[in-house]
Amino acid sequence: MIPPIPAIPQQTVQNQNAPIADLSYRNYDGPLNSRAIRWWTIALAMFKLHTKPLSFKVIGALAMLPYLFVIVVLWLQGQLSTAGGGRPSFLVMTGLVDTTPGQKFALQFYNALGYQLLYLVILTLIAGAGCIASDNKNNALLIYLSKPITKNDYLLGKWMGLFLSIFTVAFGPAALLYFYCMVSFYSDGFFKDEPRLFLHMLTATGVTAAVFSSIMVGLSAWSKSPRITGAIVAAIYFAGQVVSFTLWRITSGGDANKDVILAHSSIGGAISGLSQVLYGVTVHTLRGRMKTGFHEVDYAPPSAFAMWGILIGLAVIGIAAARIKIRAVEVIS
Amino acid sequence: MIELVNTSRWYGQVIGINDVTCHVGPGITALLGPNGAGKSTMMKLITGQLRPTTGKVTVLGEKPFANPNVFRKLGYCPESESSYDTMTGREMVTMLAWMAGLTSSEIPARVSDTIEHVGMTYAADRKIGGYSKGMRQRIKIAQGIIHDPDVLLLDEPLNGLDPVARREVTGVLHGLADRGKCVVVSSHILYEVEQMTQDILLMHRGRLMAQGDIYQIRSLIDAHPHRIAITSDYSRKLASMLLESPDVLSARIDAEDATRLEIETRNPEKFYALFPELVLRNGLTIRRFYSPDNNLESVFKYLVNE
Amino acid sequence: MIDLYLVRSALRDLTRTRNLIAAAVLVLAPGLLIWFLRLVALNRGGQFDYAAVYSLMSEKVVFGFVMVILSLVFCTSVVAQEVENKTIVYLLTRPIPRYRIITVKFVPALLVTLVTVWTALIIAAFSAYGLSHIGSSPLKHDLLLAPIGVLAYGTVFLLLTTLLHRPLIYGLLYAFGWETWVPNMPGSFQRLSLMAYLRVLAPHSTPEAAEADITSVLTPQTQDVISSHIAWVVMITTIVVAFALALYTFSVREYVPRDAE
Repeated sequence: MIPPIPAIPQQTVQNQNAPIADLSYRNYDGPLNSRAIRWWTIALAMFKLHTKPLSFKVIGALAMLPYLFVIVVLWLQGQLSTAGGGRPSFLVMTGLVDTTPGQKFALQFYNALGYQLLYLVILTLIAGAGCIASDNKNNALLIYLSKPITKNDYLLGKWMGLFLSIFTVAFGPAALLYFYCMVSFYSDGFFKDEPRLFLHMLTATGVTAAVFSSIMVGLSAWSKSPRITGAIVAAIYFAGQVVSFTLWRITSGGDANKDVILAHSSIGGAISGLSQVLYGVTVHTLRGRMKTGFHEVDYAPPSAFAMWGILIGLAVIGIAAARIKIRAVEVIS
Repeated sequence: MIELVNTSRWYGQVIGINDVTCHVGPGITALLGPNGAGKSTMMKLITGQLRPTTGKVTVLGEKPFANPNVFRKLGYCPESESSYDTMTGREMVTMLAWMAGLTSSEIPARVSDTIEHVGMTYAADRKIGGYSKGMRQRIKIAQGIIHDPDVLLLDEPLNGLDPVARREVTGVLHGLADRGKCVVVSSHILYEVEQMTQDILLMHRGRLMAQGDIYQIRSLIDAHPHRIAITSDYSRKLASMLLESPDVLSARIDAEDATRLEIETRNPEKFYALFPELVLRNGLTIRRFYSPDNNLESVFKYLVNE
Repeated sequence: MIDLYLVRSALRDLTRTRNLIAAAVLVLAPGLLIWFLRLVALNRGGQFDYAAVYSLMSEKVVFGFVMVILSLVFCTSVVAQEVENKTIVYLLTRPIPRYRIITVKFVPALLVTLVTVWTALIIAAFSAYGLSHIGSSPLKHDLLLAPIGVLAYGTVFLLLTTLLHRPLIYGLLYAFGWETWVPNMPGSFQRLSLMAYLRVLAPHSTPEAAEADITSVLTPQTQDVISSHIAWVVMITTIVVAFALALYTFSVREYVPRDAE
């Protein structure tokens, strides 16, 4: 850790014993924070700014709904199991429930994050579209970079501010669900069967927030209009999902485990794929047609290597794009 | 031309302007006040962007909110620097001239003339995105006057202009006022307003503190006697003579400059009548004679008690 | 004459290089995807079912995505862009009734969206069917129905931009949240989605995959059937009501940039 910069000697010491007090302006002579945490000041300011609008709070509240839904499913699962004395077969058939030890809770966390992604994208747009674009528009970058902070401090501060905003919304409800499960299913093998669930939850929500923040920071740095930035990020996100899913549907010809990487080759798809990998979930469901009948199918997690590759690649591209673009001097073409 | 009757405007729980009643006629009127006084809110009410919460606003006899009849005769130069950055100055003024209802045959010549008038011909065909603050200001003024409005409102129009441009813009505004137009200029720079007009509307914390001729307003402020400074080699003798008059309340010789005498009076007119006679009768030489507080800044200071 | 000038000016703004590049990407995307699928089919030695591929691309990519996102971006920008750039004050202090201002800015947004959607459909159809089979494609029907979809989404997003401070965000929630989930809900719930009606008017007979997840097989069985007559009535009513409400809202609402307060 870099030690704090020593305090500047007081300028007014010589006047301390003078008959008339020196009330003229005195420079700040208190301790200065070390350079190492100056980005944190920006991050904190950004976090406060991002989470202040009513729209963020409303969507943030909506983002809790998937976890509430999952709590209802878990409760229903318990009720049906008790009433039926066995597997809650319909819920299992639809992939909503899995009573296999090691899958029972992980599946719920995986499903909830999947349902929550839409809200997280919208929150990223609300909070992040203007994070650097607004500075570009108002020439505020000059003010930031005229302070004793570097381009990296600025970028890290902006990224961290956005990351914290999204992570809070992604992780908060997940942690509440974890607490609910811990309290309600302690004797049901919650810790014994799934000891690493908390770590997986932390990683899955953290990676989601990090990827969204990196992409948004990268695109925002290249824009002067938060609205346009938001539109571009939304288009990339949703177009990626529509295209990858449509292509997968055609190329796989209905085979659930064929060309799986294609189904996950979008931002949302890759995040969903990675969370399946992290939670170690295999989704059981029924597939078929009314005429031909149904059979059980397992959706195994996609390749961890490919999912990490796609997401790390996207994050690196986002941050690199921002780093290239951030400049203290505005160049008018 | 512009009338506000008991007008108030609230933004939720924050008050923009509070029970303002005033009338503005032809000529230049300055709308004065510190930041947050309510000047911009008043401008927006007059230009029909906002509706009053209570009271009435009329411009040329009609309510201005979303009223094309009013806008046909009204020009507005907003404070915000934002413009159509992807357009050239000429394109922006042309578009807004079309919208102001000018005919296609008169627009090109009128646009060129107006741009020339504000001194922007040299940069009219460049994108506004690359303009300096002063250039943006001039284009904004051009779009405000392109349709020769009867009522022109300018929100901080001299911001960002260099001294030459300020003089030019002030000249343009005087030209309009001389033709009987109503020009309202909002500003918080008292000095520049003082150069432009004596008619003021003084706002503070949402309230209209004073309106009318600045010198008349000054004379009505009884709480603060008028100060008059006189520089003479006979300042002590002059002080004793002046103190004999009942209209002179005090006389003080400057501690650093013994030739400078400052007196206070509640009746400046009587004093100005008495003083030349006194000087001539005693054969005194006066090197300088002026009133340090008969100006806008003092009026402002006295009225707002700050 | 004024209206024409303003339409032209707005069109020029909408067709700036940046917008054109984005539109070009969206126009070319379905065609490129079809060519990609052709190559995949060729490599795997399978048959390229051009009718199925076009139907899927038309329904999911062009109608389901390109039309919606373009309507959203262009139609919300009619007011949102002016407010964001603080230039709305210039428009609102001109002697033109507000309903005319918003109409002349809305028409170019619709035109650009429609032309982009049409071009995307044409490229997709020619990429799938080729010149020889183009006559048997549902392209003509899609081209005729596209204006209805563009108008319906356009007017809804126009209404959003006159009502809300962040129309793009709420529009995205509506377009990709509501309009994705609701048409696939069981029972009569789908009747609350514009996309459900648009699918009735512009049906695309996507061939059934050999098999599908049980939920996606069972849900359509439980949904009630929307007749094309009802679909027409709902779409036209939506267009008229949303447009009228947008005009009214824009005429009576205050649009002062936030920081000016």
